[in-house]
Amino acid sequence: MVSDSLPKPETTAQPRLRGIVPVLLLVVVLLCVVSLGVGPVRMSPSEVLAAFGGAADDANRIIILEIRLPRMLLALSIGGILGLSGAAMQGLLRNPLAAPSLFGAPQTAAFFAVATISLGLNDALSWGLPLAAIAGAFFSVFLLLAVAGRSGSLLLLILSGLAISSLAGAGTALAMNLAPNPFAALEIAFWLLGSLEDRSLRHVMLALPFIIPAGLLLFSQRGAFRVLALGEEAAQSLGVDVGKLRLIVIFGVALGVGASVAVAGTISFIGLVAPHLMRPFVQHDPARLMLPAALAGSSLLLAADIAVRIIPATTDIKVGVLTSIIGVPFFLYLILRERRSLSGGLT
Amino acid sequence: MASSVLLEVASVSVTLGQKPVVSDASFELAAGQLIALVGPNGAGKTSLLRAIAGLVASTGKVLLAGKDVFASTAIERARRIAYLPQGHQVHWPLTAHDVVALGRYPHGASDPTRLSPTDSAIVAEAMQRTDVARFAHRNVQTLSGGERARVMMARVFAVGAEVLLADEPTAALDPRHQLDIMTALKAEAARGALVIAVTHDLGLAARIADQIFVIHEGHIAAMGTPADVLTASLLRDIYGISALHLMQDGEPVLVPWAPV
Repeated sequence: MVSDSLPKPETTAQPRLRGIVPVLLLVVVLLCVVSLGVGPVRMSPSEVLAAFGGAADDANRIIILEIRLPRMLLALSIGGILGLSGAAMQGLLRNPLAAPSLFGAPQTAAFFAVATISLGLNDALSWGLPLAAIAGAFFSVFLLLAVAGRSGSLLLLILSGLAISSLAGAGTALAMNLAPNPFAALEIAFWLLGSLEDRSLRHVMLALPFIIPAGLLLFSQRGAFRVLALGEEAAQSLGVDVGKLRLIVIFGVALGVGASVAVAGTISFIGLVAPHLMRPFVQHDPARLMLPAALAGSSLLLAADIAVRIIPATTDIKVGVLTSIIGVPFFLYLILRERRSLSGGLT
Repeated sequence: MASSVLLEVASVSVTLGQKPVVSDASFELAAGQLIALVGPNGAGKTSLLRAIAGLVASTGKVLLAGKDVFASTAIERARRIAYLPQGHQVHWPLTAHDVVALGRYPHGASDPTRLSPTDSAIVAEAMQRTDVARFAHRNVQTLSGGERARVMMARVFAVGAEVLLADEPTAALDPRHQLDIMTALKAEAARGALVIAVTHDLGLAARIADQIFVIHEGHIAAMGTPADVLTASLLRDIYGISALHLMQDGEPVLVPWAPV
C-alpha cells in the first residue's frame, strides 16, 4: 500500500517536551526527604539518611522509621493515586473538570467509615474503620452499576454518581447526628477533614495492596483515553471497548480512592488539580498525562503535608483542609478560564 | 460476481427502544466501489452504517469476505472496517498528526509519538492524500471545519481498512470542501476499498457514486446506478420533490427543484 520510495515523513521528529517526568521525579524525591526531616524534631537530609543506614541514635531512628516514614509513604501513594484517578476520570469523561469523587466512591467510603465510629464499633484509628471504608467504596460501585446499568450512558453514570454522593453525604450527617456522645461526633468531624498524622506502617500495608493494583489498572488504559478524544463511536470503531473501559475506570478509581479515604479521610481537589497543572506539559494528550498527573499528585500531597507541619498554628491544621483551601480557588479559576476560552471562541 | 463479494449484509435489522429503524436489509457488494446511502432524515441510514460497523446491536448477519464480522474481536473488526462518525469532534487539543495516527491504533500503534516506520509512512501518506500535511503540528481544535473534516478523513484512511463507512462526511462543508472529500473517497474506492457514504447531496451522489442505495423508513427502497435509481417517480415518492435532470460535459446533473 505504501511505496518504499516514499520520503521519510517529517512528522516523526516532532519537538516534544519530554523533560517533565524526570523533573517531577526529582521534585518528589526532594519532597520525600524534606517530609522525613520536618516536624517537632528537625533533621537535615544527612541525618535522615543516617537513620536509614542505622548510624543515627535510637530516638531519631524511631521518629523517622515509625512516625514520619509511614506519613511520607502515604502522602506519596495517596497523592499519586488521586492524581492518576483524576487524569483517568478526565480522560473517560473527556472533560477537564471531572474529579475522582464524581461517581461517589470517596463519599460512600467516608460514610461507611464514620458509621462504624457512630455505632461505637471502633475509634478513628482502629482497624475496623479502614476496612469499612474500602467496603463502602465497593458498595458505591455496586450501587452505581445497579442504578445506571452496566451499559448506561455517561450522563446516567454522572447523575447516579451525584445521587450516590448525596446519599452518602446524608448518611454521614446522620452518623454525626446519632453519634453516642459529643466526643464521637468530634472524632467523626476531625476524621472527615483528612489527615496523615499518627499513621503507622500497618496503615501503609493496608492501603498499598489496593492502591498499587488500582494505579496499574488505570495506567494500563492510557492508550484508550487518547482514542476516546475522537468520541465514543469513533473509539469503538477503532477497537476500544468503551463499556469495558468505563467499568475499569469506575472500579479502579473506587479501589484506589476508597483505600485512600480508608487510611487518610477525605483529601479533595488533588485529583482535579494535579492533571490540570500537568496538561500543558504533555500537549493536552490524555495518555501522556497519566504519569505526570500521578507524580504531581504525590508532590502536591507531600508538599501540603509538609506545610501543615510548618504553618504555625495553635491547633493542627488538617492536610485535607489545606488541599481544599488551596484547591477550591484553583477550581474557580479553572471554571473562569474555561468560560473565557468558550466565550473567546464565539467572538 | 459471487466470488468477488467483499461485504454481504443479510437480513440486518436494528431496533432502537421499541422502534424498528432498519428492517431486514440485505445486499452484497464487491470491493472498489463508492456507494452513496441516501434517504430522508430519520430513514435509518446512520443506523444501517452503525450496524455494519458493529456499533449498535442488530440481528442478521454481516459477512466480510465470507466471514462473520461479529465473530471476530473488536480489534480485528477495527482493522477491516473503518468508520467516520458525523460531527468531526475532537475533545482534546491534539495535533492533526496525532489524530491521524489514531487510525493506526487497531494495528497496535497506541502512541502517536512512537510510530513504527511503517505506521509513520502510512500516516504521512494519508495526510498527503487529504492535503493536511501542512498543518500536521497544528491543534485540530483551531482548524476550520473543512480542514478538520480532511484531517478526520486522513484518520480513517490511515486505518487501511477494506471497508470504509462515512456518515455524512460532507455535512456543513462549503462546496469546494464537499468536492474534495467526495473525490478523496472516490480515490479510496479506486484503490480497492469499498466505501459507503451517507449523504444528503443528491447531485454529488449522482455524479460520483458507483451505486446509490435509497433508504426509506428502515427499508432499502432502491439500489442501483444513479441513473436507474434517482428517477422522477422515486424522488417524488420518497422525498416529495421534483428534480431537474441535466447533462453537463457528458455527466448527469441532478438539481432538487420543488416540493410536490
